Formats: sequence, C-alpha cells, structure tokens
Amino acid sequence: MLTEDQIQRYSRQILLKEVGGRGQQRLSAACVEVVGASRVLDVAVAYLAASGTPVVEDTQRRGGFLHGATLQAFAPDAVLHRSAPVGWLGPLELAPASHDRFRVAVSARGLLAAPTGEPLPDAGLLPPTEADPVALGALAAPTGGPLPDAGLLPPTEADPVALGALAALVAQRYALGLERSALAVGQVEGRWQRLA
Amino acid sequence: MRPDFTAAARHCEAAWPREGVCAYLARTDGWDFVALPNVADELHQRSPRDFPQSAATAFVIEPRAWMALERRVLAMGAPGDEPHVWLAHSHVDVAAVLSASDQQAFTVDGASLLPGLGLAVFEVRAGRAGPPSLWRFTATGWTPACSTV
Repeated sequence: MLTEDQIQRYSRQILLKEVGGRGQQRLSAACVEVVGASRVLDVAVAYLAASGTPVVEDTQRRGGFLHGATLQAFAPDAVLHRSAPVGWLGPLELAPASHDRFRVAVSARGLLAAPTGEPLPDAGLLPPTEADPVALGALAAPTGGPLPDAGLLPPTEADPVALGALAALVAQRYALGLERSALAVGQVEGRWQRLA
Repeated sequence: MRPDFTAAARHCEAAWPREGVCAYLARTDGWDFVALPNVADELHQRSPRDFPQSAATAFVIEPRAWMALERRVLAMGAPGDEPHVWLAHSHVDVAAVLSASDQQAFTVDGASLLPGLGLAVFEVRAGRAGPPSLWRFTATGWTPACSTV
C-alpha cells in the first residue's frame, strides 16, 4: 500500500494511464541494482529514484551527483541498500545477477534489454570494437555542460541524458509489466528507434 | 445485465458545464454507483502546461478515488462476457461519441485500461443529459455496444 506521502508525491504518475495506483505500487516495490558508473547511469538512477523505484548501487559506483545521501534527499523513497533487486541496469559487459527479473544494458550507442533467461537481442549496436561504455564516466562535466572531447567518444556517441532517460523508461516498463520481451533501442539517422 | 445509467446521467448533469465522471461496479444483485471527482480544473490552474485542458473539455479522476476504484475492480476477479465495471463520463455540449483521444485514454498497450471495462459517454447540452453511447473493448479496440442486453 502506498502511504499518503507517496500518493501526494507520485500523484501525477498515478494519473498516467500506464501507471495508475497499481503501477505506482509496482514501481515502488521494484528495486533496480545499478552496476558501473557513467553519466548515462547517473541519469537513469535519477529518473528511477524520482519515480519511486528504490535503487541499489554497487561498490564500483563512484560519487556521481546523485550518489549516497544526496540521492536520498532527492528521492526519499530511493532506498540505497535493499536485498533482492528485481532488475539490473548497467553496462553491457557485466553479467546480471541471478535474482533479477530483467536487465537493461547500456552501451555507448543505445541499450539492450531482456527478461532474465532470454538473450539480449543482436541489434548491431555493439560491434566487438565498441568503446567501453564505462569510459563515459571518465568524461566528467557539469550537468548540461558538454562532455570534453578527449578522443574517447565514438562518432555515434549518444546523448547520455537521452540514453539514461530511455534506460530508466525501459526499466520502468519491465517493472510495470508493460514490457515482457527483449528489446533494443538505438539511434538511426539521429532518431531514437526501437531496433528489435 | 447493465446498469440503467440514470444516476450517471444525473451526476453528469450536475457537473455541467464541466465534464462529469463516475462508475458502476457489478455486485451480485445489481450495481454500485460511484461518483468520481474530476480534478482537471485544479490541475489546469496549477500547471496549464502539463494539463492544458480544463474540466470543460476533459476529466482527470482524483488519484485517491482512481486508486480506490482500481483496487475494487482488480478484486472483482476475471470478468465474464459482459463488462463488470462501467466508467461513464460526459461531453459538454458535444456529441456522445468516443473520440480518438478518449479511445487512447482508455487503452494501454493494446488492452483495455481495466479488465472487464465498459464505457458510457453522455452528451450534456444546456445541463440536460441525452442517452449514453456505450462501448466495449474487443479485439479491434473500442467498439459500440448495444444499449441493452
């Protein structure tokens, strides 16, 4: 059951037909483990936590603007340490935990998602030479500021804000039960599209 | 059996010149009528960018009332062939048709917003409600339903 505070805080989401009261309960009961560090993941964590979904962060995650107590101040329901996360979000090359119900893997070019037990779709997003998406985290910039061009960004680099928001949205759709199969999202000629 | 929608018509007439919204939930010996608060005006005044329509042209069910209705409907279990919950709303001085935006509002990922949901739409002109148009969800989306069963 949602508390009165939660109903007030998430009333706009409850009004969304895709969410409703039942959906908000699902979002609040879900818990997403976030592995790795990058601006994409920072943005995704912000969206997830602000929607009421608790976020568990691993010890590799370092000091983003939403880390630790700051995140809890921003999103009071975002419990940082909680057992049995139902979803996993992180860079592609890290293996998901066995207790997840879904995983959303981000790369520099897009994201791949699948329920646990199903293979991630091959959408041509991730050639073997793909730059390590974790490298994104090494390019620090204030929110809204451009990332420095350190030669790390491939020409097809996605906007980390857009990609982070998309990653959170995909995780929310799995948590809400609106998504049940594997999917891939990437950019085609500058426009975000579902690729698989 | 279906509700006779008299209480819904009176509720929508009382709401005029704003849209009214209410529901009927099946019970073993009839229907429970539930009036639902339309908070479109409050939201529109507070945030016109996020809620561009006032209650004259739209309805937004108050979140707590919506959650309570949702809980009751889900507790009713699987519906039979006929809807076991009817959501009624009115159009102010506009025909009682289920507009494209209405149809979109009551559909989530190709399914009805709630299981066993039927829709009733009233035209309320000059404070008087006409007969409702009834709609039910089928494989092809929202389609007109006969007014009697």
